[in-house]
Amino acid sequence: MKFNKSVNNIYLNNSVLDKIKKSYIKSDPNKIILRGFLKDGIYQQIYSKLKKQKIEQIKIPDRFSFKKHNLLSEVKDIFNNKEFREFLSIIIGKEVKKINLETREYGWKDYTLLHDSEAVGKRIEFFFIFAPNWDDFYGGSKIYEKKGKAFVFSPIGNSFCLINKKKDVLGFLQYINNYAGSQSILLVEGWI
Amino acid sequence: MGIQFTNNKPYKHIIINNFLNEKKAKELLKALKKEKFEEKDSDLFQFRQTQELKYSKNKTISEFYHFFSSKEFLDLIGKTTGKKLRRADMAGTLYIDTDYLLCHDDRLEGRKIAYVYYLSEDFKDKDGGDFVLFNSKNKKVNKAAKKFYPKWNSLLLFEVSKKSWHEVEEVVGNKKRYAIGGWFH
Repeated sequence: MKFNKSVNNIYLNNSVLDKIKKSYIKSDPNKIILRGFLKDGIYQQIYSKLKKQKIEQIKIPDRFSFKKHNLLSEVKDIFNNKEFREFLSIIIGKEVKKINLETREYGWKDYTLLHDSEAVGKRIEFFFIFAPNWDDFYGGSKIYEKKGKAFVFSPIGNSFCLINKKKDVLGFLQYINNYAGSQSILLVEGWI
Repeated sequence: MGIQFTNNKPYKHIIINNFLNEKKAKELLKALKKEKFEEKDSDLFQFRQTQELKYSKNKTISEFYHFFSSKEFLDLIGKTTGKKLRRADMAGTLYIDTDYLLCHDDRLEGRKIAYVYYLSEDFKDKDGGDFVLFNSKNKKVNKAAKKFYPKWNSLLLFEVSKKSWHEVEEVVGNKKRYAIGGWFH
């Protein structure tokens, strides 16, 4: 299940890639959101497998609360292979050699907070979202702030988001409230 | 009261029940409900808050603020907490369904004692809104140690320090969690 066979064909089209690259460069901070990123069948297949995994609740109250998943081989095959690194290289305009990956699940009472230690260093971050039947009202948006201005990535399933997190850009995942009930969102989070 | 404040774990705190007489507490809640609440949100919180109540034009609120800021009351709280207190700031807060305040320590220059006076009616376990005190280990926040539900007409005081990690759990349902809070400096 390599990247080129899993991603929607439109995102392999050179002229589309060119537009994505231009959009990424023009925005401040540099960012893009690509909807319907994976082929539907692949998206469903990985989601089903992830939901069957045993998960571990991780909480440091003044920093974050979420469930950690083991990294599925299918996830690594898509988001940490040569084809994906080339795809990213085209968008950001520089070679991508190494990718760090994590899969996290966020449900009711989960969150991440802005933290001083985040302000150290800069990196390019991406995340891919699994979020069936999610309503923005439940929370769970990824919010990045730069000088008091907020950039909101709503949890829309099968979306790929990429952001150049410079030193003055801080990010957090909005607290998920009781309306989420037993539902959750899953994020494959990566950084370069 | 001072001994209880000092000995309480995980950090210095005390709850004083039936703080005002019932009639005064009800009058204060009625007055507080007339204040304008503004929605506040960030990564850490979502709730509603009034302006500084020292600027309130409402007579009942103004009297309460002046009572809290009086030398006699500052001396009494100072004696209970072992701190020399010079002034109090004060605002009203309102938490409704889905509002919360995540874990933090309240430290900011000049803050010595934090207080919350609860004017929340009929809160039960299922309604959320509990005040949670956390343990700390090696100067870092650890696990929840104690919880208080927002009990009508009770006053919570705690010392602001490197250990004073706390949160307000999300309110779930239709109850309104009214309180007046702030810090003694």
